[in-house]
Amino acid sequence: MSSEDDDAKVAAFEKKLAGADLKSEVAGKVFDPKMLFERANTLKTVDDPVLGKLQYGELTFEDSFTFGPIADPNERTLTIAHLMLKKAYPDVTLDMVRKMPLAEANAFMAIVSAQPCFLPQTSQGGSATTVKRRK
Amino acid sequence: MSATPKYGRNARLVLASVLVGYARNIKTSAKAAGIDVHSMDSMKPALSEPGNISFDWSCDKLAVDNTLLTKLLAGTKFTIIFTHSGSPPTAPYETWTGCYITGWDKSAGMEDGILESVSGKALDVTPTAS
Repeated sequence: MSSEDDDAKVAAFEKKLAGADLKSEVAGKVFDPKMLFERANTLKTVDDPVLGKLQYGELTFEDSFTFGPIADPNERTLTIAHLMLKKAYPDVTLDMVRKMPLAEANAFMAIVSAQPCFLPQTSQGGSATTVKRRK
Repeated sequence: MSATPKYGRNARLVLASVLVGYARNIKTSAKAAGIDVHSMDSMKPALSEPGNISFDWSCDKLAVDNTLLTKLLAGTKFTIIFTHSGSPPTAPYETWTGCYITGWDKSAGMEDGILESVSGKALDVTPTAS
């Protein structure tokens, strides 16, 4: 079973599957819950000039229940940053994130702000808020 | 997605002792029905024994020789060798015999000989210890 022929065949099948992966990427994305779950559990690594090599975890649906109810935008941002860092560095506390030096915090915010929870919010009717007309 | 085989995730398909296919991200499961017998005077079972056993398997992607695909889809039985330590079948490994395909998907534009989200059943499982 473990002959070299079999290993060569396995390598050929692997190549075929890798080709299929590329093709499916070109043909269009296929919803794959298993792959999404795997991605959510994988840490992302960025090499930032200010922060150095930093790892963080993507926010999940479940995380939104933690930061969603926080009304204060500053506290909400801190919680989101903490949630993302905690996935890679379990010892990081919310207080440690709160007291992070401003230069590093600013660089990290560039990463945090790319998360979907920071998408611009429009008012319900799509209209901009207006002030009362002066009498 | 990386094409690098991950330990304990891929399996070899064997038909008449010849390697004919390769399954990526395989998942196996064995289930036994529970048979409970109750007496008239107690809520708890008087007897509980395992009943009929079934073996199921599934994989994300399956690559086979093009010529064999029709045969497999027509219900030809094959063997799956699933190792816990990696792709080459060095012990410990499990041999799933009498396997057949019960369901599969295929995206538009996918190459011949590749099936996605394949599920199937098996007749028996034989573990081989190291």
